[in-house]
Amino acid sequence: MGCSKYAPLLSRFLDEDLASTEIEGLLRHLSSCTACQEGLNVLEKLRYGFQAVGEIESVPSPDQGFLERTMATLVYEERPQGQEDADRVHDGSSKRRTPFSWKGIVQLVFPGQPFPVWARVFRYAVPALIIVILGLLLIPAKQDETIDVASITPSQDLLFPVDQTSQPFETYIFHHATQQPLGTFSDELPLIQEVADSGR
Amino acid sequence: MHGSEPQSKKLTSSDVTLVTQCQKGDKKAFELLVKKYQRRVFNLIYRITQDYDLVETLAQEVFLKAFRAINSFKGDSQFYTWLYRITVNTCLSQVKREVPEESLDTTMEADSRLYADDRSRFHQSNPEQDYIKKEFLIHLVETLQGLPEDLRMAIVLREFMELNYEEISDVLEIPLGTVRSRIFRARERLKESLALFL
Repeated sequence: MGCSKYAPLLSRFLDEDLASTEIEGLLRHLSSCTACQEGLNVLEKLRYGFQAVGEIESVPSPDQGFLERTMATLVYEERPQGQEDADRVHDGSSKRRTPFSWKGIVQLVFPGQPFPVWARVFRYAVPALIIVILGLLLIPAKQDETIDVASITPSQDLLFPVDQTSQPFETYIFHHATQQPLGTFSDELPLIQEVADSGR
Repeated sequence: MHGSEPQSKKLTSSDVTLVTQCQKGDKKAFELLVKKYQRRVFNLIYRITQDYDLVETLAQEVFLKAFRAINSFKGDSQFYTWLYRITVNTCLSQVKREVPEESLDTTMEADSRLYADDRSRFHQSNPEQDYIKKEFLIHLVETLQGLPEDLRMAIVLREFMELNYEEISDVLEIPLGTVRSRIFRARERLKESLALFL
């Protein structure tokens, strides 16, 4: 019988992982095979080596403050997920309630009633409605930014004949109150024309 | 199967109570679990990373992850194998985060750690034997660090954490046959590298 078959068994034998029949077969083989006996000795020396390293090597160990520091980090942690379910199952003194819940409010109003479907809809609809109402109240009314073109005193430059639109021109825009020029436009003919038309 | 099994079972019964309390939100119960396993978690992290400076940070990360996930622990496995699984995964993530650096003074570090407390250990034998033993142990640590990750995890859990094959299978989430194979292959590699000392 080849020893290669027994090599993996030696490793498992060392770790007490063999079934009784496997142990019997291995022991029979070991009694007549010096190579496998030596192989087992080598594995035992390896194990001794690991034990010695484990005992001798200085391994970091937690100091007194480790526990406190670790627990302090947990203080900032939320409760583990599913805790609510766990509380529901374990109905004991440790039961915690969230500070606010729609279900709680509904059950206050209708004590003893099962949580109705309409209340479940309300759970989402009411906050959404409140947000919409608040939004409408908070958004300022839009300023009327339209300019009554008819009220603008047209400058001389705007009063060009419509049929001259194909000619090169330059238009000055004046501030209505101060009559100071705000800018010059030479490429916005349709706009200017529209303003000029609407002013008539 | 394994010598440490009775101890494991004894630990489990109290763990179940603590975990149940913890799942109800009892932080004190979790504190007791931390207290109980902190040394072993430190040990495992160090055996995997071989980095003194990382151990405490990773240990905190491990316990934090365990706390966050405590409700996902259904009791199908031992609590400590579940905790070791988190530890192994956290360590491996850390190793992947950091670009593996070839330590120039690995030998010196291993040497200093192993020689730190050698007087009491080796005073009974003669100096020559002491030297051979020390060299053997130093080479053992170095060779172990040089093993492929999958083999190293298996042999570390077996030899340093004294887990049996089923527990290793649980921690590493691999079949039992794979555990046997990895441990066998790890030992074969170690035997080859340490042939001079064995």
